[in-house]
Amino acid sequence: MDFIFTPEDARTTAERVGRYYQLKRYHLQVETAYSAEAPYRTTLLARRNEMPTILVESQAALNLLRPMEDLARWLAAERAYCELYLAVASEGNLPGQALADCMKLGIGILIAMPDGSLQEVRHARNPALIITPDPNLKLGKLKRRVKALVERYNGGDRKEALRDLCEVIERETEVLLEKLQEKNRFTLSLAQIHGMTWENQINSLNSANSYMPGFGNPLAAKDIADLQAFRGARNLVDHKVRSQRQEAARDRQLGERMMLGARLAEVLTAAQRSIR
Amino acid sequence: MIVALKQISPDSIDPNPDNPRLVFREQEMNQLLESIREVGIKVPLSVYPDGDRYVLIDGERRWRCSRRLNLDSVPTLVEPKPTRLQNILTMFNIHNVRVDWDLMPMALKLDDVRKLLEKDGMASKAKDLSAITGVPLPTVRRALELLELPMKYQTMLLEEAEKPRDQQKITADLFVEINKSKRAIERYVPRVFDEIPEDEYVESMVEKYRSGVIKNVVHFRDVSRMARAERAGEDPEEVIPTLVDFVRKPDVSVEDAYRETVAPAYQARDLSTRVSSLIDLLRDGPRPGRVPSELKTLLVDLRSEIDRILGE
Repeated sequence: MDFIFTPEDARTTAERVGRYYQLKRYHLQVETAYSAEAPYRTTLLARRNEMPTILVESQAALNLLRPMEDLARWLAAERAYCELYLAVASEGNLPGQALADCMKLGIGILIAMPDGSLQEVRHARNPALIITPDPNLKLGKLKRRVKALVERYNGGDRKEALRDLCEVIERETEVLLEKLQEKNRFTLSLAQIHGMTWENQINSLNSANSYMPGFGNPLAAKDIADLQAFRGARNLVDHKVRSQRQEAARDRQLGERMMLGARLAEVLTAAQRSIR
Repeated sequence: MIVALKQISPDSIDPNPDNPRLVFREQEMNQLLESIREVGIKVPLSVYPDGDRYVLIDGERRWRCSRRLNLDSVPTLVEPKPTRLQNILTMFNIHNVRVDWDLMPMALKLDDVRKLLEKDGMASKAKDLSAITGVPLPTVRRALELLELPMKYQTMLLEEAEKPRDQQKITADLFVEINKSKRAIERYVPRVFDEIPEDEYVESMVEKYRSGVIKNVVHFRDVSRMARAERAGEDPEEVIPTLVDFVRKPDVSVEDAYRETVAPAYQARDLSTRVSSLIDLLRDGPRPGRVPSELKTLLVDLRSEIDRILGE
């Protein structure tokens, strides 16, 4: 690795990080810009097939420079499929303020160990995987919960956030059935409702036989189809990936499901409200 | 000399191979980086053309920052291509007056200057190098001393210089002090080097310093004092076995060897000098019967200490 502008005291870290990604079969570029318009060139750029591009700024001492902040904001605005990291050697310090600032901007922190391993103190946010559900969604009682899950998802805890959103949607489906039963619109008893799987609950919602005469499905056909589609989200969360490529593909699908989940939360709360 | 002001892509500029400043530290660079981000490059870089590219004469830090900031172009003054000697001397004249270079990179570049001067049949002693480069004579001498080190230590110094200053353990000062102590041994007790090769001496001292057995580079001055035992009235022959042991045994510190050999003699010599001055002072001091009480108490204490030492 030939460095030109990386300060000499940061090169040991850069070499350790570079070797780590080379061993992971990433194609490494030294001191190269993410694109011609990027406001900063990081020390290393690691690319591998469909994996997010890894941008690593190697430093002797952790220091969040303004140009790095510019780069983080620019990548976010571009919705770039990448992860931006600051790397320091294990001998370096980690000042608290810099860590907090990095967290706000979604910049990850790596520690390059002398044995060649990399320790990830904080995972970077991938701007392309950031989701922004429609701010006009009327989520009612679920507003705080869904917002927290979206933040958790955007913070990088994607699988867990989607798993929890699945549970929210499952629970709200059941609450809808309970409400229909309570208002004597549903033919099924509470015990029957509670004994059903989620799939059967959705099917019974969609079945005309489940309703008392004069009443019908409070959800539109499209919403039922979306609920059916969202059922796959749980499988997606539990799906074991065999390669990093599959993981990258799954990450992209997780985002779509999160968006769908947020919309379904609105649909289900609206339907619950409509039953009087 | 025709100089043109142009906007040039920083990617088409190469660093000057004769800039002895090989080490640019992160902290210094970051300050400039932030400044350029805020206000841009206000002072043009100086370059000379080399084929279809350019070589930096002045402004390596600005150039490095402009590349980091992914700038499209930077203002540059394009000057005619200099000769090699002119180029190196320009580097010295432009850069060394601003920020001190690390001693080892400077030494290597001074060596280049020396060779080029010799090639042109010009004087190339330390004072000539100092005059032509503007580097103070003592610094030139210290730098040239490093050139006498075996290559592995020169490389060690260059590698060490790349670390942040607070993490640097091996410095040019270490070798300057080791060399001085080695020269003192060569001069006053050369028989030490009959038993130990000179390289082994340097290696042992570096290891002792690295392992913390020798904690400060100035402690090597006590090795020179041991070598000059004769000055303190000691027999130099008696110091030789201790010096040899000191070099061979990794855990023997300078203090241990110094205490074992010449410390009492130097202490006695130091005391003699002070007592002699005190006697002179007392002779010129207050007349009998007019001694202030505080001084009188101290003089009584002094007399009892003298009696104790003399056993009377």
